[in-house]
Amino acid sequence: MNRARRILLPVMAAVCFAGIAAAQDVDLKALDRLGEHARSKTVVTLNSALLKLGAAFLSADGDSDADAIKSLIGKLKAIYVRVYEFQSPGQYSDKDLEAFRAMLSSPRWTPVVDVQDHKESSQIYFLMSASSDKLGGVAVLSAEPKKVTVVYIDGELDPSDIAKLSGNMGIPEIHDLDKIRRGDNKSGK
Amino acid sequence: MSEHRLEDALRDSLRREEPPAGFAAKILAQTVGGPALHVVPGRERSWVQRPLGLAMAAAIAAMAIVPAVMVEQHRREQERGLKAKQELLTALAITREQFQQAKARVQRATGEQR
Repeated sequence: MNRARRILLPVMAAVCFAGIAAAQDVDLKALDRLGEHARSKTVVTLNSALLKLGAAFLSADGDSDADAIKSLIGKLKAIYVRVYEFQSPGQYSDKDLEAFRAMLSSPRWTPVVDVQDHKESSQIYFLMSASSDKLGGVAVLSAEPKKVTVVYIDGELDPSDIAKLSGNMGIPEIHDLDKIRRGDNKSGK
Repeated sequence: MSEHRLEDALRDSLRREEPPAGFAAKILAQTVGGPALHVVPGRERSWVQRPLGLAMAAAIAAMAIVPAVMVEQHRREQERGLKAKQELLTALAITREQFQQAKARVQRATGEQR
């Protein structure tokens, strides 16, 4: 009995540690320093339950694209979005993004887009799944002189879902979202 | 005059008379068959002490509270759902914008290289 316990306990601890390590693969706390100087920040954290709830309310509103969005987010574990806006350029430095970039430099992540356009840059990383041809997650990091945007999608995605995500699919434009919030557009679009 | 006499007669007949000594003890001895007992009147139980009254009060309270709680719960669930929907749309809109921006930057960068 004691021998079994001696073997099982380290195995269980290792399994737990591996789980925690995987979950902490992308830790958005690495971006906390950005928030200290930001004029405004947008924080969206949707876990699996909230994703399902949000999708259910899209359906309830009779949104024609609800089914497409539902199938897209069906296997996702979470979506995290952070947008930091600054009063003037130079209020953050590349060093503030280093810790986040370091996490994405692990072999599990593959950079698929890394573009520098004048003072703006975009980086897109895919988390490759070893067991299937699907993606295990997507991370997007966009840096502009007065704005930093980070999107981390955790969960299984089909490569074709990326095309859907970058397409229209009934998702309102960002500037229309404020109108929806105020109730100008009752359809939810 | 006859009225006065009638009044006097009534007063006479209605005048309180003290019972003879030992009257109460005699009565008690005859009814109980023993010495006079000291009877203390029982205190009446309030509705709170009665199980049936308590159960009814609880049922009435539940009937009043349960619908209110359910309505409040539904309202909160509705609020939570609308917030989740709003956040989901925001997240998807920002994601799309980022993909489109990246695409535009790549196109600009490759265009400049040519």
